[in-house]
Amino acid sequence: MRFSSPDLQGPQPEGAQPTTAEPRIPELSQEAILEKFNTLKQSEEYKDVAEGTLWTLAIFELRQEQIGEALKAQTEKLTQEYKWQKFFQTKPGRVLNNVLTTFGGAATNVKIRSALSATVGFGWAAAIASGLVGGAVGAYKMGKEKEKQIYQAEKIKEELNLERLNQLLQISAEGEIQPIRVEDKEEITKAIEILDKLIDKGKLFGTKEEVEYLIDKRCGLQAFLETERTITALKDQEIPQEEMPSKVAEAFIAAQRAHLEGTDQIELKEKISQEAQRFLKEKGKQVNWARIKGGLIGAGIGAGLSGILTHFFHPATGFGGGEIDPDKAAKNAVMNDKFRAIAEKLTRGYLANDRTAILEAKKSLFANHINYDEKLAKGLRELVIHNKDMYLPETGELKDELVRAIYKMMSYPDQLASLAKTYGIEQLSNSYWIHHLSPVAQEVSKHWHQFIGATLAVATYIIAPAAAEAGYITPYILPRFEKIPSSVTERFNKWKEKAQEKTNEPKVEIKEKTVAYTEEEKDRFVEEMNAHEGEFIIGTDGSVYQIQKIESPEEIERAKRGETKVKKAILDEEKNLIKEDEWQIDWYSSPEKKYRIVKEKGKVKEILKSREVQ
Amino acid sequence: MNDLYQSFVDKIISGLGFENLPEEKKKEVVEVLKQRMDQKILLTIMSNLKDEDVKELDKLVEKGMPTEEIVNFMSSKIENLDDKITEALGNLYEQMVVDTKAIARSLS
Repeated sequence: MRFSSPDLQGPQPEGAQPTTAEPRIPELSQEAILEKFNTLKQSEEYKDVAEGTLWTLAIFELRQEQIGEALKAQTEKLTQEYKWQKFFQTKPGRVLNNVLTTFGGAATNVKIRSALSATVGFGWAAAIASGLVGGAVGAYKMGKEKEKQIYQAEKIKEELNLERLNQLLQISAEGEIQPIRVEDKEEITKAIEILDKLIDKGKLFGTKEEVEYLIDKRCGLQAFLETERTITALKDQEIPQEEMPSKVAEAFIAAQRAHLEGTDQIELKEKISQEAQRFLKEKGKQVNWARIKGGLIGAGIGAGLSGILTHFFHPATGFGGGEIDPDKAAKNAVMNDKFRAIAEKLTRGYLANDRTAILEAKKSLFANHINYDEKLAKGLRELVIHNKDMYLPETGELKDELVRAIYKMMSYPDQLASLAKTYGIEQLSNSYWIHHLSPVAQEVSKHWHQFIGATLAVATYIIAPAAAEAGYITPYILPRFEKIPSSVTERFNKWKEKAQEKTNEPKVEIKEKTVAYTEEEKDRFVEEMNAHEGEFIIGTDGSVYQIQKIESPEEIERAKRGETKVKKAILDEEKNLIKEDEWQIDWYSSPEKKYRIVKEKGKVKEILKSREVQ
Repeated sequence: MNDLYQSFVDKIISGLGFENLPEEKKKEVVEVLKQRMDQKILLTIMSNLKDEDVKELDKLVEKGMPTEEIVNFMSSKIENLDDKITEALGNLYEQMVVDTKAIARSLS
């Protein structure tokens, strides 16, 4: 909602053109549209239709009615005034009329007359058809144009010419807010009024982003006007330097109030009940702040609020976070090497006037968002100097009491969480333990919903059918599980696939080769396969073959067709390859001419066993 | 808890350079600042709730449900609510810094 945003024009729809068309049929009144919209909204047929679509539909229905009425009037007029009468007054017309009257009824008469009319050159049907199509197209176009003119956020941006408004917001290259000319001010005010009117009547629609953008701009324009007004008024005064902050604050307040006014009026209107709004405003801070038991980190607003705030809402300290017991934390700090090192550096720095030590300690504190401000520095220095007997210069060690005192002094309520986090002082309870107790608990807490979903799905699809089959539960229970949402099923399937992939992976690395042969390559096939003599192929059906040497011309011919001379292995129940001399010569050909060749017999066994596991 | 909230406000005040304002003026700034923060939080929640959730929220408030329950409700409905609020407040602060600087430059 920054009023100084350079991009007032905002995102532009592709190919958007300014609206220039003039209405050719009567305009629709807003009241009529609203009435139609309400009628549609209440109808059963449209109960699930989005509001944006309903507005469009309302306009269309009204346009259709207009077209119908216009055509009816036109046809009547034509019938009364034009050439049928004249035609039938002519000699051929009279003859024709007599014939038609004699041989056909009134309805036929009309139809034939209509058909003939085109033939004899009156062109009524064509005229009506053309009028109908033309009118409909025109009305459609107008409907669309009008719809955009009135409602579409994207069009509003163009019509208000926000680009120009942006130019009117006079901000110099130096970033100063310049006075706005009266006529320009009027233009901005008018733009605000237009936006207010549209928003107030709930007649602004478009994408969420578009609407929000316009609302934002509306507030921005207002804020800018207010600021400019205040600044212009102040500029006329002689402001002593010492009063400058107050004056800046005055303009700041004006801008913020304008923002508040705009947002209050617009964004929340009809979105939520007044009571709920009041509740959230009163409790809103608690909603978020009450959970931040760890408090705020003092340092570095200048260094970037977002980073600091991230700490506020860190899982361990923010939502769902646990309590920190300052006393326990201080006790733990004594045991904590990292914190002790900082405390030692500070103490040495103060007592030995070692600037480097102080600087290092300060940097560590700042890096971890501990606000080593003047007040803290003064307090710490006093503390250390008055307790210098707790410092052992020979070793640079501190007594526990001093470490604890330093920790406590640093622990402004708003820094406690950061300190605890920075130095790994584990005094956070509740969810802290969920996050830190064990890797398993951590995983479960992170993916608890998947975990529950998968458990449910396993129960549904594996345990329940198995139990039913075994007679532990009666099958009629099973259909009830069909109601489990498809997302759970999907999740389970994914989980199952993943698990399967994992199982399929051989436990040892297998050097294998997949060879694909095209027609052009088949000459090379014999040579390639002979190179693999003695190695194994695991067939697509799970059988195991040992590659044999191709020698005779007949065998070469066969191999060129893509077949491989093999011995089919005979496997016992344990999936062991039994004696090679009992194998039979065979020819193996895979449909894709792909061969999974495994070099070692031992690996073949492993693959077979792992397959059996699945 | 109010202390913590106040502490955050104080930090922004000092970040914007308003810490040495006369007490009355400072009070005004604090008031408007708090309003904007509250509103930002509120809007973040609102714009992230679906229409049906808003209705449900209305009902919860009407029924006088405990704050905790309402908070839980919102947290369950809005993914990463805390991140969203963090971002919104961060943006608000940055915006205020830019605006304040523009004002200060204009007056100096």
